[in-house]
Amino acid sequence: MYHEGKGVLQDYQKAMEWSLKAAEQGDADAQFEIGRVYHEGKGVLQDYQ
Amino acid sequence: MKTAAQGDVNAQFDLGAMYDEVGGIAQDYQTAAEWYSMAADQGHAIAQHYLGFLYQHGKGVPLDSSKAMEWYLKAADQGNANALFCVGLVYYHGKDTPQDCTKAADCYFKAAAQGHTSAQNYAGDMYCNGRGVLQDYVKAVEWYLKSAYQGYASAQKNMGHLYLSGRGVSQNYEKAMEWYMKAADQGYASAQYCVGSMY
Repeated sequence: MYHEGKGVLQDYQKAMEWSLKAAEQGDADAQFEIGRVYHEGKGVLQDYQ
Repeated sequence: MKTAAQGDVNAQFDLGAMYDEVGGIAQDYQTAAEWYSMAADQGHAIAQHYLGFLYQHGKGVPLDSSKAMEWYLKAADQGNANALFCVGLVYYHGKDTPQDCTKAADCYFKAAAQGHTSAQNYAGDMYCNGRGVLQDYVKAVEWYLKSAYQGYASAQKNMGHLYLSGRGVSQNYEKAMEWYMKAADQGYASAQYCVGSMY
């Protein structure tokens, strides 16, 4: 929900907090999702310099 | 797993520092690889594929072709189309793994059957060039068309070639031009050249 901004303001910090809760309990989908967020970078301008 | 994840979080995350002031998260391949590893170890197919990708390109982890292939294969064994395609590429190019066109073709076909557009195009190539399979232009057309209809520019250009040369289809310059144009309209440079050469 938070990742996609459905029904709530898109908030990567909130999304990450919830993903971490699940990931800490060993949820593979959440662990993957956190990995993907770091892989792509979310909501910040990339510095390519 | 819980302990590992918990340990990982405590050891590697400074929750305050990982967000910038707008609540975004900066790209960080190393951290990505760590989380993918956890999910991959639990059999998460997409994580296995992505982890393979990071090992193949040495992003966030030391470049390691065997580890890349290991993870690609685990995901491919679960039927993950993207991983099957990657395994196909590794077998086809044979850089760090001995080249095996039969295995490459097999992987392309499996990914292609799932609708993977690049794999469908490569499946067409394998039939066109008789690599890993007996040369069969009609089958090449079948695969190229599946990919081309999904809008894959390279396959559209390949359909142009086949109509131009009359292989697998009856020679038809108008249709050749149509397919070249479709690819060219997508900004595909080599197809734009083909369009030019038709005049």
